[in-house]
Amino acid sequence: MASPDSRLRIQHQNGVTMVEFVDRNILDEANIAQIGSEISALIESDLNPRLLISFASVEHLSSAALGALININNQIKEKDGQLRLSDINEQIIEVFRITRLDRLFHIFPSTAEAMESFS
Amino acid sequence: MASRESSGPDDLPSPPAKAQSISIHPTTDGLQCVRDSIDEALRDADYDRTNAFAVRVALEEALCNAARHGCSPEDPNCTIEVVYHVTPEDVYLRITDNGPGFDPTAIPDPTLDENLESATGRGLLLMRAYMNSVQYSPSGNCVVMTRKVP
Repeated sequence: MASPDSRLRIQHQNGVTMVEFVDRNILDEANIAQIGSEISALIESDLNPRLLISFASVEHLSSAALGALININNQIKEKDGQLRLSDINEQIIEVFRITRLDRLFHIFPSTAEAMESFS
Repeated sequence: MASRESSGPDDLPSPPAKAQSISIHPTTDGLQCVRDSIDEALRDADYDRTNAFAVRVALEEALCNAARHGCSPEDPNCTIEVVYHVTPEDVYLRITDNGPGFDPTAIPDPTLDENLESATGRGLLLMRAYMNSVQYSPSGNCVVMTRKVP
């Protein structure tokens, strides 16, 4: 269960850990480090991590946040897990396209579609 | 924090006559103060969501570079200066730190397949993607960015 000062909202459903961000803007380096640590702990606690990160509440993020996502992706790959991203707004999707990270991550328009994609 | 009229260094585009300036210590509060000031200027100039987003992305990455590659926040003399001018037609941003600077030409292309899984090195790419011009001083501790509103 997330602590009261968590930057995340966490749910578990059908073997998938669903994560949403508390913050609208993921910019502050200390917050990004905390988010990275919290998600890393979730991955570590799972033998076969299946993680869905929803960006439904996110309006803005920095390249440092993208770096944290890449670290999360690498950690999940090491455990043969699966990572899905969903509900990314049009402007942030453009950031993923510019950086070509849309090729690295599995991105879905909605949490429902992302949930269906887990094998 | 202080506001004043500014002039730029000779080797980079000079700021417009009515540009404003903020000097901050690179703390969470200091950086937020810059974001809030630029947001206010964007609102005053009636920027739509797309154009405001573009400026915010570039600003954030430049601030992040200044905070990371600049001087240590533990140093009481460590400052980041942001000179800005926002009109409905264009934006001028100049971000200067008093650290040793960094070499933008040394950043590998983060869009190459072999670099896609690297966690760093995307800030400059985003600044260049969202602004019309991005120029660093030879010392690497000052960047000037401009954007014309399409």
